[in-house]
Amino acid sequence: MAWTFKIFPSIGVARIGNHRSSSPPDFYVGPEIPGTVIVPPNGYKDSSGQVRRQAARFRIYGWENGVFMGEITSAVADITWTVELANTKAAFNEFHGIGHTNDPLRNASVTDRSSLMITPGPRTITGPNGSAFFDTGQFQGTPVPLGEIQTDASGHLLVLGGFGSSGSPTNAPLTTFANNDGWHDDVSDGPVTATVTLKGIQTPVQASGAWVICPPPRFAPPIFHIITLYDALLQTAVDRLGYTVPATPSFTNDVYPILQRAIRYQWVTSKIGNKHAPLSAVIPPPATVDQRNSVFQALRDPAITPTVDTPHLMPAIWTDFFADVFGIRGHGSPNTGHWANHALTPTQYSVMKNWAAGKFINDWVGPPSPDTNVTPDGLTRAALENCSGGPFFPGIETSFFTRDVYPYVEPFRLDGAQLKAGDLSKQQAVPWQTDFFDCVFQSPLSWWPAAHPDDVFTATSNNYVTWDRGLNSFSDMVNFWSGLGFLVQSGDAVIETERTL
Amino acid sequence: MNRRSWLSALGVSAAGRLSGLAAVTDSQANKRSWTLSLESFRVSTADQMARLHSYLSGTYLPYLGHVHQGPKMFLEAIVAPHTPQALVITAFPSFDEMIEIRNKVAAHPGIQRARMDMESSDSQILVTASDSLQFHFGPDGRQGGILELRSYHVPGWRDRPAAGARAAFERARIDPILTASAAGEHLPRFIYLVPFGNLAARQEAWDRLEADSEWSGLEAKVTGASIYKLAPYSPLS
Repeated sequence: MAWTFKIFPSIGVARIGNHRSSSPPDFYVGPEIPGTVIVPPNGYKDSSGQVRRQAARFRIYGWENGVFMGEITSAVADITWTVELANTKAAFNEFHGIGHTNDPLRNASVTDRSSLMITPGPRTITGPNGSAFFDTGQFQGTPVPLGEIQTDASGHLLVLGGFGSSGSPTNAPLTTFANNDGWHDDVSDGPVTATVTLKGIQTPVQASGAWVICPPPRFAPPIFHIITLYDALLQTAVDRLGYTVPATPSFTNDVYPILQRAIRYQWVTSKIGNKHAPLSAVIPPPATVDQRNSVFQALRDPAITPTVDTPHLMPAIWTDFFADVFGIRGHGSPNTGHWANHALTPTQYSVMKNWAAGKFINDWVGPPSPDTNVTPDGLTRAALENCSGGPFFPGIETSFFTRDVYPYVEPFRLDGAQLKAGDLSKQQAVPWQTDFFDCVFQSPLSWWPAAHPDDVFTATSNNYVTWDRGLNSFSDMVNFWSGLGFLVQSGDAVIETERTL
Repeated sequence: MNRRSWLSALGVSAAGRLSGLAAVTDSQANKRSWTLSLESFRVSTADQMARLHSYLSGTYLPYLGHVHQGPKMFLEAIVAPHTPQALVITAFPSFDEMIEIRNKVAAHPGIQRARMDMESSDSQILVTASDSLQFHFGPDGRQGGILELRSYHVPGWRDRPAAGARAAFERARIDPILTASAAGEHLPRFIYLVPFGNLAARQEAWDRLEADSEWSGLEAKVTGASIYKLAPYSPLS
């Protein structure tokens, strides 16, 4: 009887926060069931305005001779977890656009490249109720803690990221959205591995490994990106692993989420406003052929060359090949009339095309309710659907490398043997706040309105207000990001709360 | 639970445990069938199990005992596709009686209130011969050990496992306390509830079975397996 074990989620997300407490009431665990939104009962911030960290919880599931057995906890096994977090942004190449392979190194004048890498090394915990800290990494001699790991009473692993502390030991200026020499931040990523020894059975078994990314906070939890990281990596699985999706889409599970995300963008950008309201006319299905076709005809075909303009087609978000449209280097790009937007993934586009043609399963009984059970695949989906899957340019949770370059051993599970801690964040902006500051509406398109809202409503105003009002520079975002408000569902509306600027 | 009344309800002798798998004969008693209800109760987090056990031991079990004298076993999953979870196995002399009792239980106001707090529950119905039940009275007999609920899909079997299967189990020193056939998908499907001293004993036993050439020839395919421990308040074990 041979057991195999896998860690889930296969890619977990632990978001940074400047609340430094490591006690469970002071942080919260991220979504573990698809479609759920986590609202900490004590708020996203504490009474002093410090942002709580979002932990990533990892679990181990077992198969015996290929038969799924379920979750393996400390009740039946001795589990040893090992995690390595690193931030190697400052030692990697500058970012000037996807596909630009010969960009110069960041901090090119620094010969001791290791001094630019925050690499505290791996940490290991055996058994429940343990903890270990990633507190020995340095950036050019300055300590930069990246977070910690814990195990709970059941032996689950909890990963907590950094504190949103970015800095420059040499007081270097912030000059570009992506490449600021002399600067570091404390986002990170790295492999999660485990050995499992079933009680009474002395042979330890290595579980199939996972990865954790520790990006900035998610300020708009009720709003899902039109293209999530789950969608993007599903496409990666289709393209590179031969993964197949059902030939006939489900309206409830495949079509409705795309429509609903588009409709709900009204809560994060005034440029959408009520323009997507007509999408409600095709819910419930089947709607008329003309109605479905009018929605589908408004979508950009992903087969179109990414730099080609497709005026007024959707989604209204910038292309990943923005640099090639404008030939930019560094901060500042022309606001022109270009409409080089980012298409849905080919799989999403195919779903919409089939729906428009009437080739879909009409399984509609109302908006789907989230599952009530935690499942292995659900853990991965819940983690990834809360991240941006494009455009990246270069990315907020992870970069386009994760979609386009890095190897996978199975859908959504990276080949950890071919990657190093820090690889999933190294191409993103350093510090993250500069890109986050810049990624607002840039006429005529948005960037990541579900990550960085353009405009929002407050509890006291029926008019849009700029979400990052009051922050006017890269430095402002570095110093005051934690004052930004979080968005919550309030009745039928989504409003800003907990703003402390 | 009154030992005498319970045995009377089953119509078998009070000679300890019920007659076992190894003692199958053509006697009248062995031809009697039982309807088994396997009802699982799920909560979302492990720290809610105390609340679930409180409900099962303090509300559900007392009322079930009031309306049904038949065998009842309460288990807590330690490895199962859905955890945290508790499983209640109840045996009834007939399908109709099972429906009647379940309706009574479902209509009880205290149980209705308590179930509103449960994450979810579901059930499956099994049928077994009385000679395939080997429950013990009281929880002491199996405390500290584990019980595995294991299902097989075997196209060649009809309403009960082949004799060769029973012999293979005996050679592998696997002694189920419940053998039943299931209704539903992937039929024919057969369910065993097997006690083991611990995970190591479990693995050794299944390894012995896998190495048995006669068993291999039966082409029985495992379709599911869950491992439980006995709840301290379980009337039977």
